Amino acid sequence: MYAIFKREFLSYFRTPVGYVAMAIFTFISGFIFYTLFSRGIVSISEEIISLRSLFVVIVPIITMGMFAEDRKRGTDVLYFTTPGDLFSVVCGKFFAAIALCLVMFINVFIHMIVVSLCGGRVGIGAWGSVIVFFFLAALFISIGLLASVLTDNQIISAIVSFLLILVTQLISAIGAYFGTAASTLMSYMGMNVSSRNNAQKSITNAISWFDPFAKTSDFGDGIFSVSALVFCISFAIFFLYLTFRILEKKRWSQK
Amino acid sequence: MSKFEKITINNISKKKPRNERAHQLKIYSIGSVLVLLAIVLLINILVDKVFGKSLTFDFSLERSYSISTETEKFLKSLPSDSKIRIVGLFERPESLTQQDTQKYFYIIPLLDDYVKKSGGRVTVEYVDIQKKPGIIAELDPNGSYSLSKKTGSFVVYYNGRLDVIDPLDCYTIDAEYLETYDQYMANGNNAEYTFTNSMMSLVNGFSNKAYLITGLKEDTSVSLKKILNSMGVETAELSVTSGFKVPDDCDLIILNGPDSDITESMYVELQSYISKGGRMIVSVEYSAENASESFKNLNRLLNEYNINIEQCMVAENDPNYQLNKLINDSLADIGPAFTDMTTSKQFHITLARPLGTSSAPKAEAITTPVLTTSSSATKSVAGDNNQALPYGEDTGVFNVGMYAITDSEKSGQLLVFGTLNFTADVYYSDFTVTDKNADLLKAFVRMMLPKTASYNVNIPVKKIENYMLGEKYATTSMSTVMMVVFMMVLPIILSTIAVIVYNKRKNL
Repeated sequence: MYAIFKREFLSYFRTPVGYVAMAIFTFISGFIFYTLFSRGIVSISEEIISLRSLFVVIVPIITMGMFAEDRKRGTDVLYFTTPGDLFSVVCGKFFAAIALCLVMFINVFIHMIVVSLCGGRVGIGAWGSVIVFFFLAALFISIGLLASVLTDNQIISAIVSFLLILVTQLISAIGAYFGTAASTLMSYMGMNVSSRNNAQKSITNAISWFDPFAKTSDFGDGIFSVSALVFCISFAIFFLYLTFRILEKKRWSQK
Repeated sequence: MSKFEKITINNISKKKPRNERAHQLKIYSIGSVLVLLAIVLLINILVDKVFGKSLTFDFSLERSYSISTETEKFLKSLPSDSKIRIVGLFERPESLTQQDTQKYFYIIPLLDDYVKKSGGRVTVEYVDIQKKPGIIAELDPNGSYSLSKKTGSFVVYYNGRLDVIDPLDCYTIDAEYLETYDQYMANGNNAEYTFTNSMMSLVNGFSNKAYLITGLKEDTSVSLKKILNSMGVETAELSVTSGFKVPDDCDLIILNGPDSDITESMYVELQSYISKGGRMIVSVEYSAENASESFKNLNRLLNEYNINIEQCMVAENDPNYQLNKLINDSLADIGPAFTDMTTSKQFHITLARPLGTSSAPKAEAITTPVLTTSSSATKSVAGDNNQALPYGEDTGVFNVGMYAITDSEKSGQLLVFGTLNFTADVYYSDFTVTDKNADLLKAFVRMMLPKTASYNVNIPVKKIENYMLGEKYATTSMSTVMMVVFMMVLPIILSTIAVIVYNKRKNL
C-alpha cells in the first residue's frame, strides 16, 4: 500500500494536476480569508466551512485520473497481476489524495498563524472545522475514486464525480423537493393536510439525514459529534469497498 | 476432427465452469456490498439515534450550548412529574447561521440540552402561530400577554403561569459598540441565566412586585429586571402621568437613572408611599445629559431622610482607587455597617454624584453610608479630556451610596446610589448581571424585601467568542497585503510551477 501511496502522491507533483488543485484552493481560500480580514473579524471556522463547498471542484480534479488514467494507459494490469491485495491499491490511492488535501490545507494553517499574530482568535471551533474538513474530504475522495474506477476517460470520471458530490452537497435541498413533491401528490389523491404535512416532513427528514454538511455543521461552534464522524468514515469505507469490488470484477472478468 | 472444430470444442468445454465462477463472484460482490451497506446504515442509525446525544461533546467557549451544573441541580430538585413547557412561537429554523436566525444561535441548542438533562421535566416545542393560532389561547387564555404580537419569542409555561422571553433578552449588548457604530453587537450570552431564572420564578412564584418609573428620560432597565426576576421579584413599569399613583401591590419602587426631576405630584405620592412603609431605590449619575439637573423635587423627598443628591461629580484622585487612571471611573469602599452583606469590599462606580446630607431631616430617619470614596476624592464638574475641574471643596471622603430607614412602626426604606453602576444596562452590558455590583444590589433588595425568595442561583453569563483582530492590524493596508499574498502571489507561483511541469512532461 505504501508503494502505491508514494507513487500516487508523488505523481501529483510530477504532473500539473496537484499544482492546479493547490492553486485553485489557495486562491479561493485566500479570497475568503481576505474578505474576512477586511471586515476585521476573522473566524477560521467560517473560512473552513466556506471551503467545504470547494470539494465539488477540487475532488474531481485530484481523483479523476486515479484509475481512469491507469486503465487508459493499460498500466492497471500491473496491480491486477501483482500478488498484493487490490484493496491496498485502493487505500494507497485514497491516502495519497488525502495527503494532497493536507498539503493544500497548509494554506489554511498559515491563515491561522496570521490570525493569531494579528491579535485574532483561533478557537476550538476552528479545530473542529479542521477535523470535519478531513473527514468530509475522505468521504468525497472515496466518491471520486468510485467515479474514477467506472471509466477510462478522465473527463467522464471528473463529471461523474462532480455530479455525485454535487448531489451529496445538495441532498437537503433534494430532500425538501421530494417532500414537497410527495405532499403535492398526496393532495391530488385527496389526503388530508395533517397526513400530507407528516409525509412531507418524514420524506424530507429521511433524505436530509444523509446530508454530511448538516451533520457536521456544529463542529465549527465547538460541538463535536462522534456520530457525524462515524457517518463520514463509514460511508467512505463503503465507497472504497465498492471501488475495490469493481476492480475485482475487472480483474476476473478479463475485459 | 479439424483444427477449427478442436478449438471450438475446447472453448465449449471450458466456458461452463468459468461462467459459474464469474456468476459466483458476481453474487459474492453484490452480496458483500449489500451486507456492508446494511452494516453501515445500521451502525449510523445506532450511533446517531441511540448514542447520538451521549456522544456529542460541547467544547465551545464556556460550554455555551450546555446547561451548567447549577441549572441541572435545580431541574433535578423539581418533582419528577413537573412539566415545564417551553414554546418557541416560530418554526424551528433549519440553519442558525442566517441573519434572521442568528439570534437563536445560542438559545436553541441550549434548550435542547435542557430537554436532554431534565429527565422529562422540560419539554421544548416550536409552533408557528400563523399555522396553529390555537396555541395562543392554550397558553394564555385571558390574552394578558398579547402572545399574537410575540412571534419569534419563547413562552415558558408552568401550571398555568407563563413568562415571555424575547431572544434578545438572552444577550448582553456591547454598549460602547452600539454607541460608536449604531449597531448591536452581543458580547455575552445570557440564555441559560434567563431561562433558568424564568423557570424558577414560575415554579416558586413571585413573592414581590417592583415598579420601575418610566418617563423621566431614564436609563433602560433590562438587566435590572433580570436581576429582580431572578430573585422572584416581578417587575412592571409605572409611567409618569398627571395622575401618578403608586399601585397597592407595589413592594418596591425604582427610579433608575432619570435625567429629569420628578414632578410635584410624584413627590407628594412618593412621600406618602414611603412614609407608609414603602421602599424605594434611586440611582442617578452625573452625565452630560443631566449635568444641569439639580433634582429639586427628588431632593425634597430624599432630604427628609437626610440624603441630598449634589449637582456635581466625584473626582477620585487616589490612584489606588482609580480604574484605568480615570478620575470618574473608580472603586468605592463598602460602608462599615454593610461589610457583612457581600464578600467584596470595593465596588465599581462611574460618573458618580456625591450624596450629601440635608439640614432638616426627619427625626426618625436613620441614614447610613453604603459606599464611600477614598479620602483623596474631590468634588468636581467634568471638563474636556476628562480632567477634574476644581469645585472649591476640600479633599475628603464622599458618600456615593446611602441607605435610610425610618425608626417608626411602618419603616420606610430608601436606597440611593450616586452612580448607575448598580442598576443600568450600560454597566451590566459590559460587566454582566453576575458582577459583584449586582451581588450588592441583590443583598440590599433581600434586606429591603424580607419575603424575597432565596432560591436564585448564580448562573454565569457566558462570553461570546470574539474573532476581532487587533486594532492595529484591522487596517485597509493589512487587508491589501493579505489579498496580494494569498490571492495573487501564492496562486501565481503554483500556477507557474504547473505550467513548467506541463511543458517539461508534455513531450515525454
